[in-house]
Amino acid sequence: MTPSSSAHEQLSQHIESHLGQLYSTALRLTRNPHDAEDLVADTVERAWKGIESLQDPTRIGPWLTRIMTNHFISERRKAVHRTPHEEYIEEPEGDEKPFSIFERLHQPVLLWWGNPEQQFLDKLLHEDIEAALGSLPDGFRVVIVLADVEGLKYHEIAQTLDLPVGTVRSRLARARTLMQKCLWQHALDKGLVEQPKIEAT
Amino acid sequence: MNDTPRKLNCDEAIRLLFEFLDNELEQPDHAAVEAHLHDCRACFSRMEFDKRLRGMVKGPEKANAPEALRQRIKKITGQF
Repeated sequence: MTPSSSAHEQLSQHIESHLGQLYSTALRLTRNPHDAEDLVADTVERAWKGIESLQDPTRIGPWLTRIMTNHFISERRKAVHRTPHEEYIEEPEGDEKPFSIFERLHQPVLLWWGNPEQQFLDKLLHEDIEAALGSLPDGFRVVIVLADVEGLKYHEIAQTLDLPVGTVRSRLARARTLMQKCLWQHALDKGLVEQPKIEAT
Repeated sequence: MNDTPRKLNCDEAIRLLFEFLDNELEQPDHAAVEAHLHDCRACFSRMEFDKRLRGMVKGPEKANAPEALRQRIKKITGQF
C-alpha cells in the first residue's frame, strides 16, 4: 500500500515521528510489550484504512489516541468473553473513601530531619508507579493514561470514550484515589514506608 | 464588581485540587483555589506532592519502539 493522498502522507509522517509515544501509551494500556506492539500495529492499520474519518488533519494525535483506546477497550471486552477468569471492569461499584498518600505522610509540624512526603517520592521508581497503574481496573487505567500520560482535557477524554464530561470528571477522581491506594499498598509491601502502628485503645 | 476570590476552607480546596491541577476549573473557582494555596502551607504542600506524583505517572516522554514494530508499521503504510 502506498500513500494515495496528502492525508496518508501526513499520517505517515506523524506516525514516523510519534511511534515511540504511541508505543509508550500502548505499553501503559496493555502492560506488556507483545500486546503493546499488536495494539500499535492494529491502530496504525485502522487509521490507514479509515483515513476518511480524520476530520481535522491538524488533530492526528488525538484521532490516533481515540482509535487506539477504543480498540484496546474492544479487545479487552472480547478477551473477557474468551477467558472466563478475565474481567473487563469499566468502573468498579461503590465509592472509594477519600484517600491521600500525602495525608498519610504529612507531619503538621516541620521536622528537622526531613520531609516524609518528599522522601517517599524520592524513593519511588518508575516500576512502582507502573505496578500501581497496572493493578487498576481497565476503565480506571484508561482515564488516567488519557489524562496524565496523553494530557487530554476532560472534554477530549469524553469524546474519546463517548462519555459525558461529568462521568469523566468523577471517574478520573475515583481512579486517582484508587491509584494512590494501590501505590500506598505497593509501597508498604516493598517496605518503602513503614506499616502504620495500630494505636492501643 | 468584587474581584476578590471567595474564601475556601481546606476541605473545599482539596476537593477541587485534582481539577485545579488539570486546569479544568472555571475562573472563579480556579482563583479561589489559587488564593487558598497562597495562604495555606499544608494545602500548598499537598498540591506540590500531587503534582510531582502526577509527573511520575506521566513517566518518560516516550519509549523506544522495537525494530519489529517498525517493520510491521512499514508494511502497513508501505513506506519509511
